[in-house]
Amino acid sequence: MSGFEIFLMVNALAVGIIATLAVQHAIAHYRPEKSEKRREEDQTPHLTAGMKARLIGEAEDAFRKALENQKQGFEKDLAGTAGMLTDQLHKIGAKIVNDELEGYKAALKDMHVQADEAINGGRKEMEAYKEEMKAKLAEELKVEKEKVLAQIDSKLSDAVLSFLLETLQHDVDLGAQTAYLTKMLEEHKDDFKKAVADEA
Amino acid sequence: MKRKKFALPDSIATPEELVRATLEVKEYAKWFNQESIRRRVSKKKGPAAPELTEPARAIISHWGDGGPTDSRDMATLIKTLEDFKRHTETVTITLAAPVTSSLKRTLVAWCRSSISPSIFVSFQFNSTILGGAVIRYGSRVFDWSFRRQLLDNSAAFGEVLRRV
Repeated sequence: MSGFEIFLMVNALAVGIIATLAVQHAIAHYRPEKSEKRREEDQTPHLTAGMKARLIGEAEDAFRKALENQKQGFEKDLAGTAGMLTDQLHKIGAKIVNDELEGYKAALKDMHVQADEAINGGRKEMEAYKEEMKAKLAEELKVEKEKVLAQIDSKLSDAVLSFLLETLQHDVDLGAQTAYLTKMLEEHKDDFKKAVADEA
Repeated sequence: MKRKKFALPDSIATPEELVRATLEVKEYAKWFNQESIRRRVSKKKGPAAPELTEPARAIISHWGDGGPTDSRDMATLIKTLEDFKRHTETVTITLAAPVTSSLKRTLVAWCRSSISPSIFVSFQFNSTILGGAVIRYGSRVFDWSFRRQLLDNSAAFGEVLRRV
């Protein structure tokens, strides 16, 4: 036989196997209860009631043990998880509180800075206002002083004039004034002539 | 009739004095006229000439050359005196005390020689001016009194006080 023939025979064998498997799977797919029943029938061994009960009991014990183990495992996991959650909560809480505190400190610091600036600004303005008021007051005092001095001078001159009038108006000697009167008339002769000419 | 030149004597300063002198001149004129007639018609002596004050005498003697020659001249003199009184302006001089006669003559002589030969000068006194004079002519007033000078220099009083 040639290789080709061998190859063909192997292929035919593989196709047959595959076809058989395909048919079996199709039957199992379209008629599952029949096949399940048959499987169960095929698989179910012949057991006594005692053996069944013992098997059931063992299965229950094993199940219970497994449950217990699972439960312990879950409890351990739960405790661990709770501890981790608590830690995480603490960390998150602390972080939040820290962040808030930092924010509060920063805001407080800004407010301090603003308040300092406001106070300094207000102090400077007050100093400037004080200087301005001082200058204004000095100016007003100076004006007032000059006014008072002028009033004093005026009052004093009025007082002296009144005194002179009061003292000298009696016993006036015109003889002593004759030369003065003629001199004064000579000095103002032109004014007088002009007045006479204007009146005329 | 030719109008004669007439200058008031310095002894007559005010219109009132001229009026008084004019009255005396009129009395004298009456006597003068009567005496002129008497001399023409009779050799008898008539009454003596009326007593004249110095101003009236000065007026009569200054009229023309040595006084009036006849009654018409006299009448002209009287008319001239009356015209003078009506048309002459008055300057009022206020002094610090009542004016003495010598000062009055001096001032009147000055006014008549420097301002106008026919001007009246009346005098008043006000002791509050202390000295100098306040002269009023028409509507013009010239205050050259000591009081005015003190008032005008009152501002300098403070300066002087500070220097003392």
